[in-house]
Amino acid sequence: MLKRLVRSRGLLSTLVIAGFLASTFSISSGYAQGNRNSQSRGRSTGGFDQQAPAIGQPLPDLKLYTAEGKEFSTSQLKGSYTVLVFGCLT
Amino acid sequence: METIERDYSSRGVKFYYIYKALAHPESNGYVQPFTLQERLLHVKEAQRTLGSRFTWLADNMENEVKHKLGNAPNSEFLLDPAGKVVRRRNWSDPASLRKDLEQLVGPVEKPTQVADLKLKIAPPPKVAASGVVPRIQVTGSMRAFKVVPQKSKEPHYVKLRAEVDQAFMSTGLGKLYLGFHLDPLYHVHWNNLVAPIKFELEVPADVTVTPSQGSGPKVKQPSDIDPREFLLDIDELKQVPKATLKVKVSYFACNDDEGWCKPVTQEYLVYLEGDRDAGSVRQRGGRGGFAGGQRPGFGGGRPPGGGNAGRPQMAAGPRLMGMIQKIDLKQRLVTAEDRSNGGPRTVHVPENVSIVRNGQPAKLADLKPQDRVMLILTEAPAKPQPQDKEAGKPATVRQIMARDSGFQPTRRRPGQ
Repeated sequence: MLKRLVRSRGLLSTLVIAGFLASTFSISSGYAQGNRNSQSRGRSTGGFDQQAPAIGQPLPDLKLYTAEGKEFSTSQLKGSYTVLVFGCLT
Repeated sequence: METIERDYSSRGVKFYYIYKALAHPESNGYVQPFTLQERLLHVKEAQRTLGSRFTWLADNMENEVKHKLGNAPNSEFLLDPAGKVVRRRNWSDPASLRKDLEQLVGPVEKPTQVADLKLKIAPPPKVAASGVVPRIQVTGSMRAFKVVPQKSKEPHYVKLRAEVDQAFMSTGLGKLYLGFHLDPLYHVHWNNLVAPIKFELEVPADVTVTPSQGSGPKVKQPSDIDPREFLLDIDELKQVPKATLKVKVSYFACNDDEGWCKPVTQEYLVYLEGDRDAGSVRQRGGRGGFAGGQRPGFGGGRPPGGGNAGRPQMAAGPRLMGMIQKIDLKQRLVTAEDRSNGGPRTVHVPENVSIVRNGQPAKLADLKPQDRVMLILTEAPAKPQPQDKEAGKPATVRQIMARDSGFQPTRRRPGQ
């Protein structure tokens, strides 16, 4: 009984967390679609086109950090097709 | 997105997640990091919880990458080998991205399905009970102010979030929310066996905050991780650029993994200007009612001391905020539109009541219809009083703070 409870609770929390986190990171198309109707999306649409680099333009040279804390520049993103996705924990 | 990474990374496509400021702090207990090290802890946490194979990059703490690449929470860019943008979306769309890569790189014979991934998703850390201390009730939407932590020997185990309501943004008179949230990535909890959290405020001239100090509630449970929240009244008579509130907070934090409990005192500066990178909180405590936010253990009721000598002090008591509709000088009655429910309320103004209008002592006859007003009552009325109804005694006012609509200069910009 305990094993069944633990297993089912684990599965339920996995599904809840996957759905929630996927709404930010789009880890799967199915989950991502269900969580997109947020106010923040509406607010960001207006500004995005004006501020983001246009098609055909390079990214501006900006400083980021790797997960280990080393400096990384957007100018290093060359040499292959590159996918960049913005996200955060919540 | 992970399925696309599985299919195209072997064909030379690089995949990066750019970790940025939280779009919705407080969800699952996560709060905005204060330092790069804390943002990198977030990245580790995201790696742990998502099990993604993407390479992670973190935005700098000025949030430059977020600002310069569109300011959207979940945008997506596809760059060609020369580093030029060939596709961009303000909201990541894996299905469309897959079509783009099929076009640019070539189709995949047998695309990976989500079920094939077997991703290990881990829950956020939880070190003590939650749901023990009720969340504060706020009415309407709130705007986050910029909070700058001051240097401290200890990490900021507790993170301050400061917000104001729309009334303050438009009139300078409204509510200030201070939330002290434990950062789950430090695995700490409150120690409820000792004195609860305490805060003190220092405010600039022309700003009054009531109360200016307070303490958290006494909690029966020995430990918990719930935020400690306070809803204060704030009155800014004159908008001063770069005005700040200084917040000093003292609390006791414990980490069971590392086996310590310690008292911590830290300070913050709260800038009275919007923070465009603060994110928005989802469903903190729902919509509150009249004079919402008074919690057990709230240190309220005392007017601020010291730095506000000569300025009108705000009395304790339930508040009604709105716009004056009618004044009856003979009966000494004021009818105002109650902002919290949109209906009119009539209150009685005794002879000796303190009235301040546009920052100056005033009489009842000085108030005008259309004045924006905060009526501090002796007690909350049981139900709204219809304007024309004579039956039922209107609530009694203890203090009135008012300003005329034309008194306000252009209010501070909320930030982008």
